[in-house]
Amino acid sequence: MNTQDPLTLIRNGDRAYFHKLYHMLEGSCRKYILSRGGNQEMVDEILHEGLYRFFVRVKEREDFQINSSSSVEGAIFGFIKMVWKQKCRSDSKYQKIHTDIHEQDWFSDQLVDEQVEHLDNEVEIKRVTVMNLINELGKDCKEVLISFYVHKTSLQEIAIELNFSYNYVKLKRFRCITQLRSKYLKAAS
Amino acid sequence: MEDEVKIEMVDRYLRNEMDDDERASFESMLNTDEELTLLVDSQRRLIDGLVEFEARRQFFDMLHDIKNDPPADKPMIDYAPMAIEKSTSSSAGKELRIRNLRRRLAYAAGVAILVTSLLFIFYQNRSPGDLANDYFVFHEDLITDYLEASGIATDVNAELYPIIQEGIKAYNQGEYESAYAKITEFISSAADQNYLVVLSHFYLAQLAYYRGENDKARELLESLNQEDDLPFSSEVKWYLSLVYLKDGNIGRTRTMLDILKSDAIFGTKANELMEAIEDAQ
Repeated sequence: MNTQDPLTLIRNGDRAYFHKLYHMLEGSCRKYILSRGGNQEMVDEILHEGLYRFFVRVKEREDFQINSSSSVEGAIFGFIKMVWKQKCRSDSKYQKIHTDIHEQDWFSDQLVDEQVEHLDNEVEIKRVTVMNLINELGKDCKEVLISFYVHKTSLQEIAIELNFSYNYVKLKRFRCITQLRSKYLKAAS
Repeated sequence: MEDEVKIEMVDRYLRNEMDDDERASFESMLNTDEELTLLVDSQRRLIDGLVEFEARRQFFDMLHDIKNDPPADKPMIDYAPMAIEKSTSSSAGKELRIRNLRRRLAYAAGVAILVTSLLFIFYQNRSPGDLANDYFVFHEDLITDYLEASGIATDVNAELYPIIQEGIKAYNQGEYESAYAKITEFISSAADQNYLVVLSHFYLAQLAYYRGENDKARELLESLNQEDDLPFSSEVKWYLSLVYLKDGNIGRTRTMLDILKSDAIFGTKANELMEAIEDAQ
């Protein structure tokens, strides 16, 4: 079976295809997480994060391919397992769960899919840092910055949308981006 | 240059809003102004972060919608209460509906009285041990899913997997003596008290109860009850309450059932058993 067409669908964020993938993977993800002492909330968290990371990987690498012996679902499941293991290592909510995976095994080739990499390079770490800092911004800051920098909405339009004055939005944008930069530089140093 | 003006310029540069002359002039400044270069670099990184943040948020929104939109062959169970039918018909129709409702309520009350009486008569003659046995049901198999999903070849107990697999297979087939023997063998041979071994203790406790080995069942379940954050801790308390009940230790039974009375899974059963115990006293 040709697994390249599915990758094109994934790259394009095809909702129908993700709908199919989601409901195919949900059952096995639930089994995997619940049998390791997780709960339904964790199932959703891990499944969504695993799918997202796979989507990003496929989108960022035009040459990304699936091994002939694997399927798209199998490849995504590798990401799901990776997210689970990372959470068990770093998230206090997950660390209370019993697991019989020993620390050194997490780095073993037998356990980690060869297409899955750890967050071990500087660019990736900086990226995650920025995302975390954005998440910590106040609601207004997030709205103004995302409208302006991502959706390329003019400050005037933002002001109308948020029911603020133009001068307020202009100042807000400056203060929020400065605040974000200041935190970023502090975290990066 | 004031900070705000600088940011404006950097933003215009990064958004390709400068004309050729302006761009050339700005790039010339970048060659000599290290601080400006760093500002451009950090701003670019922050903007990339904002783009990714928004893309991620939209992706997760899509997944959230998909989650609530199951495929046609797996419809979601609708737990919404039935809509109350609004009617604009005549008062005669309204009276008929009220009469029908009264009749249905009366019928339901009659059935409730009958069932309660029968239960009262039934439980009055039940000993604690009988009651415990009435409520005892073997727990569904959690071990098979765990074994299928794990595939961890480097687990310290991996070579023992065939033993526990045979044990749980026997359990599922109702061959409880064989299940008891195999699970006992697995536990005693296991090199490490990992999650699979802890889970196996839970099933061994049920099998011990079934075999009438209440002391062993109690010992195993009390030990499990000491473990922090077991995902099946409610299950452990439930079976422990049955073991205490079978022992005739009503006080400890009540303690366990009291803990469970607001439990999402065992709350109803715990309340029911508590009432049955009161009725039997």
